[in-house]
Amino acid sequence: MNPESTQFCRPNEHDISRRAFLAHSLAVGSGTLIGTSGAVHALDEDGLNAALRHSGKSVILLWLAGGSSQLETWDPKPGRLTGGPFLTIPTSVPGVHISELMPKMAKRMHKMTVIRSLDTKDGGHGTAAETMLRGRKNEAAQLYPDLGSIIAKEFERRDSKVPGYVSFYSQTEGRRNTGATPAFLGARYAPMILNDGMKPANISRLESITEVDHRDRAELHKLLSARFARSRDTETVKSHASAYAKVHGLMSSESLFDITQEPKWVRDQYGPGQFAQQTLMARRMVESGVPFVRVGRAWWDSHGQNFETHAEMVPELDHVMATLMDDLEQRGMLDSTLVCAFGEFGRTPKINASLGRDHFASAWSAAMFGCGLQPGAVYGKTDEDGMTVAENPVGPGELFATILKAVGLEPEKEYYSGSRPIPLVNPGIHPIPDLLS
Amino acid sequence: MMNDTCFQSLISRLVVLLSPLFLVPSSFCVGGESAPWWIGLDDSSLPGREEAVEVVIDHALAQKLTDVGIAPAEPASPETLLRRLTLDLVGRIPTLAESGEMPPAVETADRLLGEPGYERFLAEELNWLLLDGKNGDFRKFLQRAVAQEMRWDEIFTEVVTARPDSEFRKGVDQFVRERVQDQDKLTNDVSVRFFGVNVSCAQCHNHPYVKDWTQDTYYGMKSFFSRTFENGGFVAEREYGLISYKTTEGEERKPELRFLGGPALTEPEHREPTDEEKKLEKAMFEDLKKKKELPPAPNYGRRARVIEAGLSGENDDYLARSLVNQVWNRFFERGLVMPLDQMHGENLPSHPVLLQWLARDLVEHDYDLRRLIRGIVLSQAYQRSSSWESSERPDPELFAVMTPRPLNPRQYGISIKIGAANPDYFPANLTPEEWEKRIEQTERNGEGMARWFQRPGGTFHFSVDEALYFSNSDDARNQALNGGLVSHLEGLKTVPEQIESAYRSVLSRHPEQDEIDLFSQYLSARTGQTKEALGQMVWTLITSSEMRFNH
Repeated sequence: MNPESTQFCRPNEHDISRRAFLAHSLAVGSGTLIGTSGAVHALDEDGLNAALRHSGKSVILLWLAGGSSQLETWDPKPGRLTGGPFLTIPTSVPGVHISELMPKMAKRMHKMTVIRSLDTKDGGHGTAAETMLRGRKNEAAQLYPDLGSIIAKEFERRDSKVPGYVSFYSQTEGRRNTGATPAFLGARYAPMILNDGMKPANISRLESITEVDHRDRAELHKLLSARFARSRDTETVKSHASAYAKVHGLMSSESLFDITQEPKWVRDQYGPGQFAQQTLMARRMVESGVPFVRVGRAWWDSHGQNFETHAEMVPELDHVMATLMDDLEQRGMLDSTLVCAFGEFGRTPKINASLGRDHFASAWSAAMFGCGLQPGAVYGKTDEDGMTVAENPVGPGELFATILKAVGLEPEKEYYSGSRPIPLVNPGIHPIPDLLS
Repeated sequence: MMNDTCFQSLISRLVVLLSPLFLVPSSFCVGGESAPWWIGLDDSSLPGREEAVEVVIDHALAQKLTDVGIAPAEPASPETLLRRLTLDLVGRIPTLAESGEMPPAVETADRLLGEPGYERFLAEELNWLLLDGKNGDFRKFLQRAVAQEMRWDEIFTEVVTARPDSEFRKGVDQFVRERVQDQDKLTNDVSVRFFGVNVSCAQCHNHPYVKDWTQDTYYGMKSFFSRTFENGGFVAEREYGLISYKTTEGEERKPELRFLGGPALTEPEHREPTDEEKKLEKAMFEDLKKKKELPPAPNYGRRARVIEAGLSGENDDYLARSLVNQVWNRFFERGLVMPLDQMHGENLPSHPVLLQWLARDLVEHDYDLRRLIRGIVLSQAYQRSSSWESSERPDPELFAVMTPRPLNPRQYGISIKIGAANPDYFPANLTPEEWEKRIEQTERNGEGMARWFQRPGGTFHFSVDEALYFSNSDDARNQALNGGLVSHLEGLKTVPEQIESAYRSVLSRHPEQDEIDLFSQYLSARTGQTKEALGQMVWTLITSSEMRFNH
């Protein structure tokens, strides 16, 4: 390897003067490839790099797209007309039973935080997803940022080489339904959206340009941008240069998006499906400093054959959540990572003629664990058939406020949309103290 | 019953009508409530109505700068101004041939305002204002309307009437039709996009800051649209139907028809049809749906009333003020009132008298946008440099220095196509027809690229996606390498000539010495791979901040 080139590419030396840049360029000449170890530090072998670990909090959202059934998961009603065919099992929290489809989570229930009394009012996929991801409805003339954009804004490190917000979606769910809008926070906090390829677009260098040329070109870009910004240092002008400055960081973290870098036994633990593998990727990313990762699991919308659908999908969810919990715990990340599992709504207790359950937002469940939450808490109650909330109703705003508070954000904190102050949650909405540790 | 605020605002209107010279202090108050800022405004400090628009703008802005004791930035260089005018008026950078001469700005402005590209760009911008830039028949309607120099009040009338009953009006109903499923959105979008007033805050509760805006304001406005629905792909309207709402105290109320919180409008007595009549009506609409025919306009339509109210003498200032503010914002990235949708009586503009003067001037000159835009671009404020060396940049509402504005996606796409093209594609001696043909083709190609970029707005931050796209996609590589400029540069004899030609093509200016040095060394070190190296130089220029902004 050419020692000159290594020197040229060390990240700390990117503030080189123009003279230095030219000297290096001339010395490097053409066609010399830079060794990977000289590039901005990639993750090392086991996916860990202390330098890239951030001190802030992270959130992983397992988004159950289409709406999973609370009766086949967290709030079963055995023996009732609405109960369906599955039995319930006791959990590690005395007196709390969940569906027999979740034996692994039952054993870990004392580490879980479950809400059984969501009443979120909206039974339409699109608008309900928007509301659940924002803790409030978008207004006709005011779009609100979603949870991921807020977490990215609050926890993304300024010098971060990894994205602030990653969103995995599945083909069934569709890219358009990922529900993300940074709204007035701006495109900088929009998600990097990834599909089953699990790799962002345009992150790899084209073969038609050498690494040296790629870097030198970026240096030229930086010099010209700095020249332009010298007397025009507005926030927008600066953001142009900083978007380009992120390019090599992201390219160097290409290995972040490469799941084969995880040891085989870890991959095997999570299991083979796309949801399992993307959840592993989520853990990998959070570990590398990505503040928010959403993993979409679709499609739970079981208007027909609800029980077959859930017999297939709930055990997978059970396994993936349990594996993720153990993995985070073993890595000492449970205190800084909050994991949520819910979708846009639950499903009707009433079983329809096609043995399905329809959309239901009046009495359903959400499950969470990790950072800042009260382990073992089961909050709220539905009536004996699960038709209504019997105790402690929770709206989307309260759930949202609780998540924010758990990661250490004050829900009353205000952003500005133009001159209009916008608190993180609507006024009068508060976190649920019983759910916070 | 007339409430205090109404009464007081009537009184102040009377005062203004009776005596134009009567000076009303800006904090005119009765019983602690203030009148809207535009009531009783004293404009005696401004030149008269016959004065040129730019003179009035200069006068008003200079006054405030003097008041706060800030010396504005120097005028921009002729090269920068030519680029700025071309981007703002026809939506692209100048070609090399166009930047050959530097006539006075007024000649450049008049030339560009007369180009077909001006109308195309204006139609696109209006389509963004009204329909978020969607590609469809509405966009084509706007293109026809702009080409015919249709007045803005007429466009408003056509769009809200929403009857595509002629070839010319095809697509005119899209604005209403796309929103009719959500009457709150329709109500608010008409209020925001035509009148600059966002009433949605008053939907659930009386507005926290604006005393005049109550839930009555909101539902009074919504009542204009509540009888509108879609029938077989057309906008239809019933003659009956009342809405009601619950106040925050839980009281159920039936709102009266009100335009932006004005007095209740009188209407023919409401009569709910009999069941028999409803059945007949339903059959008629079903039949029309089957035949795919435009439903008849109702004898008494509430949407017609919003047009009437919006254009009536006491309200038409809303329409004109909002349009002036939108246009001003387009040229300065800051409206005279901010935010753009808060043009209510309690949100004072940075230059109230100027805004009112411009709005009145617009109405008196038949909503002639060319006149307004020409006045803006000939003003000193528009022609100022965007550079501010000495201290912190002054408050943008002083317009003391030009704000560098990110190009919108269309401007950037087309400008890349022009900048990276072989300059010989646009020689100075083309016939006007051939010139126009080539420009139009280039615009279409550039629009194709626009999807890669985000439309700026608010406090805009660039996303890393754009930088990744330019850094690593084949598509972007092609734009830089294969547009024609690189082959042109290869044909030039010396490195300085190559640098000069690249800078003039892409950045519309001559390179400075430090830039010549930089690229000379860069290119000289790569003599074995000239084409690649020239490509990197062109890439650097088309992706540079200088190219990305209208500065």
